[in-house]
Amino acid sequence: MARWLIDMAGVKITVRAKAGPAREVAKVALSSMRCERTNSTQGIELNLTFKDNVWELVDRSNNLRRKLDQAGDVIYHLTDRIVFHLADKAKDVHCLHAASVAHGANALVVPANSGAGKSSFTCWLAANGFEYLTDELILVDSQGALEGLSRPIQIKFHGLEAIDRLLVNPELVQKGKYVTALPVESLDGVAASEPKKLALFLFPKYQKEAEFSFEKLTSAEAGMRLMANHVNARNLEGHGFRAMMNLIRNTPCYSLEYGGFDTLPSDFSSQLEAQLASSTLSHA
Amino acid sequence: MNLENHYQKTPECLLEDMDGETLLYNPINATTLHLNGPSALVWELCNGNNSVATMIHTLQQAYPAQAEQIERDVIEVINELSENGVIQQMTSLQAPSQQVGS
Repeated sequence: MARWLIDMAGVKITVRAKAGPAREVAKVALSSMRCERTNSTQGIELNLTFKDNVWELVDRSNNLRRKLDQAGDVIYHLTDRIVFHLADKAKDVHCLHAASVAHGANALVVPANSGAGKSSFTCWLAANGFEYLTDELILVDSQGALEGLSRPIQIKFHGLEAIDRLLVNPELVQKGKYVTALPVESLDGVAASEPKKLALFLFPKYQKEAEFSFEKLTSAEAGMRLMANHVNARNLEGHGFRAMMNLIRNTPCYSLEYGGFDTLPSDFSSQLEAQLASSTLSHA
Repeated sequence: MNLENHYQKTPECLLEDMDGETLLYNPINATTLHLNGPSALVWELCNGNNSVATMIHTLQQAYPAQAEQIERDVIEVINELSENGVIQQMTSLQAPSQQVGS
């Protein structure tokens, strides 16, 4: 039996997995996540077993039990429970539904609802040299210090074709019926090993055949979009509204519309790196 | 809409000036509204003392060239603010005009 403790924002979650395929898939799910091995369960327990070629995930705190026969789907549901519990219980930080990558100490945060192309765009960023933090949830304090829930990047079926040519180590990909899980190493990318500083907000919108557009947003437009992706507002004083608006005022905010990676300018990753660097200068 | 209705701001709402533009957050239903020029004016007038008719009259006096449009705009904004829970219609006991003579 193996146990891993995830201790973020005052929320403790223990993943418990039996030796064999359950432990192996848990290791992949947690490989980039800030967690440590432990001998005893602390906080919420997520229990993973494997029997008769089926994984079973149990979350007793929510009376939830799932049987799954594909590793990608196990990774999706296991990490989804971790996201849920963090967003449900974190009280000292703001949890945003957002992807994030970093260049040096500075983080680019990509808030977006499901379906906006957040995870696919994260793959592109990771494959273009940005350190990977998360494709789903960031935890940021009112000073802009942030960390991400570094799960394998999760791509739904319809997004697979777009990221196929970004794969360098396809043997690391964990397929599922609902979601395919991509450890960042499958893109030859690296996961960030320490917290970063918020430096740039980018609100993406993928639309088939859309032309590339990258435009600065007003603080009000960015504030509207950011609050729509704040997932633990009810746990915070004043729903975190004033703190989020202060972050917006002090951080450059852009919208990105694109119709596929082919529509992005060839120097777009360099542009983003430059934006992150100049943001640091303006904060200094 | 009854133009004699009075509205007041929902007290829990939070307002932020974002570089000259106003954002309004309602923690009760976790909605954020971007108040543009007309809606910011109507929001300010929803202080419990003004009926909808008074708001329309006040704004028509300030912007006489747009008098016809103003009535439609005020009603539309009141409906939007009310639907998002950031203003509340006052009861007959709360509204000043109803209190007179009571």
